[in-house]
Amino acid sequence: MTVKAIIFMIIMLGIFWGGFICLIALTAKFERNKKSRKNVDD
Amino acid sequence: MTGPKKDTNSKKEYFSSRWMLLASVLGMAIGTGNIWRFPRILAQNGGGAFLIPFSIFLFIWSIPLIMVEFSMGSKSRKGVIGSFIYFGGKKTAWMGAFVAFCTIAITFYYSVVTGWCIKYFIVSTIGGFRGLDTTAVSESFSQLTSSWQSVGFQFLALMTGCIIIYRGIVHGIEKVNRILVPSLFVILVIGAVRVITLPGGVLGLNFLFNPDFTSLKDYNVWLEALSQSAWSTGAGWGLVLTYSVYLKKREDIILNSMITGFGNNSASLLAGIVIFGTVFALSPSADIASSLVQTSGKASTGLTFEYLPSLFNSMPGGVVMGPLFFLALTFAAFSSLISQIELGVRNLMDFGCTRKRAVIFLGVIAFVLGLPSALALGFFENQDWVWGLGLIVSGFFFSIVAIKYGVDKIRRNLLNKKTSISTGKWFTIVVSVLIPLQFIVLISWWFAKSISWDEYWWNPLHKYTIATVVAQGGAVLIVFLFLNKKMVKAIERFNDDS
Repeated sequence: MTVKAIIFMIIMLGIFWGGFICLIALTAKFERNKKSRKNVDD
Repeated sequence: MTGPKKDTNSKKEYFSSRWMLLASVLGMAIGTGNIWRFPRILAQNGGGAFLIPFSIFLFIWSIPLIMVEFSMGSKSRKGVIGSFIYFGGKKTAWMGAFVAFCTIAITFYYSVVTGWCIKYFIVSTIGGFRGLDTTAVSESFSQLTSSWQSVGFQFLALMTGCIIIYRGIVHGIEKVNRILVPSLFVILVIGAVRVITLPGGVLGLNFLFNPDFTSLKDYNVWLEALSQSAWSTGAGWGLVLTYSVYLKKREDIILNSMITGFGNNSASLLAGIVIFGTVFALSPSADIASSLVQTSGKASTGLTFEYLPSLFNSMPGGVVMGPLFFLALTFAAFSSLISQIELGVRNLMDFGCTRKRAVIFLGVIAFVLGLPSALALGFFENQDWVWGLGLIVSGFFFSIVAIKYGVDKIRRNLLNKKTSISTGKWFTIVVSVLIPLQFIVLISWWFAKSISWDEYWWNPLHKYTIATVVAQGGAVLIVFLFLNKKMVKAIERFNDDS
């Protein structure tokens, strides 16, 4: 595999897989906060 | 505007959690297009460099349209036609009907493809491809696509889909996607790891990720990237809108839309790694592998249904990899098929049908109208061409309705109100300027291209002509324009009655 291809692969997988995983983690965090707020309200 | 009043059909069900909604929307977006279309289009359009325009169009076509769809469905609580009336006024019901019809017309032949996937999974599991070369697999595919066997598998796919939709959102769609979507990702990851560890598998990665930036000067690469992004994410099909009818009120539309887009493209990349890795590792030479991945074959299915089964034969561990690959393909196809059935059912329910009646009606219609595609590959190819193009028109209709309602109003009142991330003015510019512009460029290019490749472009009976698109799409548009008032009245009457 060429160096150019390796760098491009890291960028692309970073954008999509990295982005996807970060967004899922962010959603999990918001959902946890929502749940704990709801528990406090109850 | 005719906002929703009481509607017993749409009031009852919601996705039980945000995760279930996301699983269902991802299941809708990740379909066979990610697994068989994406690698072929990438290979034919500059290899790795294709990923650049493909990524750009995710942000200037797919994600904004997904946001519009989420906003429309969750606000109006109606299917596509009802949502278009709510957002664009009574005179836009025909546009909504066209969007719905396009997706349902795709369901007719998509159920056939889902049937083929099921058949390939079964045959590869019982070892039916063992010892067969490409010619033999190709012959068996030809037999499948012109026989009643294809009809049988289409019936199986549709019947299973209808049973799931009949069970409703929580007990049907949610339960199935809870299993299908995570399994699909796991299978793709296992496949990717396996092919990378094959001798020569890395050559496939090199092909996938080696960017030839000069190919970006070719406008075809950009236009193919736009069409792939539109088809692959399902933006503008009305499917996200349909699922968002069942969204709980306090949901974060922007984050959900981003997850849908990023998740879809991540699955495409994984599928690309699996396909390119397999083909490059198992082909006699890199040149042969390169030409194989660019081959369309019959109905653009050559690589998936003709070459891969024979390649799996020569792969160490292919006995497991083959069935796993076709299982992933079946899961991808099936999770998309059920969302298409739900779109039709939701619209019929807006006209006052019960879920049971709507499912039976749609199932029978889809089976009967899918028969020509199941029995004649030429008809299948024609329908794929006509309604695939129709989807781009659908995306354009969404932007028209959003402009009519007020894109900035959508941004401020629907997107930025219940969100953890807010969207800026870029959204307004993209939806009101860039999407219509992309539509005009793409449609003009397609028409010009098809005139150049087919001397019979004026003949509506030829499968890949402009004339056939104009004749079929135009006929549907005229019928819905004629029925516009009746559709509005029927939806309003049902709302008043209930």
